[in-house]
Amino acid sequence: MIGLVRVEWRRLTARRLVRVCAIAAIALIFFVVVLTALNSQKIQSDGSFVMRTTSLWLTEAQAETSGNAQDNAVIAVTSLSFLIVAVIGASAIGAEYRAGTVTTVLGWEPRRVRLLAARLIAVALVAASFYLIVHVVFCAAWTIGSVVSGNPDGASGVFWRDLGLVLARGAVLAAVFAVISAAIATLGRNTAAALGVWVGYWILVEGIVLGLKPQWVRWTLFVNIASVLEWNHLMIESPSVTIAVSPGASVVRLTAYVAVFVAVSLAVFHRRDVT
Amino acid sequence: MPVIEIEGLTKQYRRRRAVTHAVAGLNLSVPDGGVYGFLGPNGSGKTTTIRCLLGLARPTSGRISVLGAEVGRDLSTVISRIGSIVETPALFPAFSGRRNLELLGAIDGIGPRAVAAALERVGLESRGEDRVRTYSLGMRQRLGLAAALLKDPELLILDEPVNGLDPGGIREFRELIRSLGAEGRTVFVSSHLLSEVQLMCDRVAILARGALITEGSVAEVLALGHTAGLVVRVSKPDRAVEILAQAGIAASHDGEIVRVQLGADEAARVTEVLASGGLFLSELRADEVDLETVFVELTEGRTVEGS
Ligand SMILES: Nc1ncnc2c1ncn2[C@@H]1O[C@H](COP(=O)(O)OP(=O)(O)OP(=O)(O)O)[C@@H](O)[C@H]1O
Ligand SMILES: [Mg+2]
Repeated sequence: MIGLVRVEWRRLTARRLVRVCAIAAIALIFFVVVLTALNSQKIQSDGSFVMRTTSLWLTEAQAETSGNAQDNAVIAVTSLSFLIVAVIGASAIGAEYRAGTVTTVLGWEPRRVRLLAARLIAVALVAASFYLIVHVVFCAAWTIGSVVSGNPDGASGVFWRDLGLVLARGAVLAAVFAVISAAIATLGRNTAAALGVWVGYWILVEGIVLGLKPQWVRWTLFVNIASVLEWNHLMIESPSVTIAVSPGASVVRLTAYVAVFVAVSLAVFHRRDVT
Repeated sequence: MPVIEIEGLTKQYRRRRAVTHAVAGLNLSVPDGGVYGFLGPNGSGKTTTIRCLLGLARPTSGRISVLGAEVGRDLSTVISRIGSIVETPALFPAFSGRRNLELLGAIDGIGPRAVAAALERVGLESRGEDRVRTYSLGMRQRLGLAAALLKDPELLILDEPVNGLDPGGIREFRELIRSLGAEGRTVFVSSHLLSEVQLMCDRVAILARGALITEGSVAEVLALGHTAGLVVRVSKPDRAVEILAQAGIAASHDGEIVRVQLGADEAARVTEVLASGGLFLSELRADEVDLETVFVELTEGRTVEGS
């Protein structure tokens, strides 16, 4: 099993899509960080912009005690990363169906549950690694920028520990996105179908359904993702109701969602003829 | 013990309301060693049978065992001894041939040395570093065979491996497959290129509409062909058939050629009858039977009707 995961890891990391995404993301990060640093003043005078180390991620409480604005630059990079790992996850499986290599690989490992499980594990690992690499690069670049032409004050031990925990949770959530995406691609035997399902979900459920039934928000994906990432009780307010989403409950829900997607994709892949 | 044993295999595909009986009650037993040809016209169920053999498709009913292992249950215990190609071999187009083989080999702990040997055996060593995307169909076919050979398998299951090869390539492949059979491996090879099968196989099975029509050594199957007769060439073939019929000899004509259903030992009588009717032969020879003729006769009218 570990051998299979290793082979899948090798295959995924050798893929051009994964490499191009990683390089493009890092290039984009450097571009944005350099631009931010160039626009930054050392000291805030008359509302001019200051690049702060603590803008990477500040909890509400920290922002209050330090008197800074609660700025979370990591959020933008994280959202972008989730989008990318969803594509990587879908295409990890979709590309196999497109090339027809499922047949070939089953000629080496006919235990399908094992094979797909190894694939999903590899997808999870690649997504988490991708997330971590991109964020470590981003945080390092941002910190250097703020030291050189901004304000590094307030980046205490607690701040770094919290940031570390955010990135750790973010990496796990990236794996969640990628695995769900890969599971959908397994069901649809196609990358585009999986991405279509995501877009459809976004528009239909997160958009239209939540507009009609705001009380269902605690069951939807993105709120639970946000709650776990921020590790915070979220209060979702709509005209009719206010719904609290706690991180603990979100962990349970997300785990259940992943379990369902994985179980269904394993069951279907196990039974279905490969033609 | 047979290497492959198929009992009462049926496979139906359901698409909307239509049901295709791709394989309908196939029984087959492939002995150990040598090259076994699996022949059948298009759509006769060869690929479907092979998919069932490799656990890729679930049989509707029937039992299959390969190398002593029940396919539905413990194929994985023998898979490391089976090399296979199903239809056009599919590999990752964005990776080089070598990387493809290395990734597959890594599943079984097979290293780069075996990969190099496999590439060499199929004559791809100089193109190993190129992306598979840039390969011609024949080169992909070779790479597929290299992948199948990578495990140094006891049993090779090859579905139409010469598809897309040029005549030189076909000859090379034939030689390679023959040598694999001669090494004591069992090669189960499907084809509709009859002449090829005749040249490289020890035994053949002929399939039509999902069922076995005949099975045996190449010589045995050849003997099933229409009784070998005589071929006569005369200037007026229709008149010749008449004259022969008056003498009680069954014959038919086919363009300039008259086929007489008599053994070669009766050639003198045919000559005499025709000569006395005023027809003189420009040619007289024994009618040759090849696998192709047998195949066409046996599967005539049994190709899958348009669905
Ligand atoms: N996935 C599928 N869904 C529905 N019908 C199928 C499927 N695969 C094969 N068939 C049908 O099953 C029958 C047998 O097909 P199969 O591919 O086994 O034939 P074959 O002997 O390999 O033919 P060929 O010489 O053309 O490769 C055909 O009628 C085909 O249309
Ligand atoms: Mg076929």
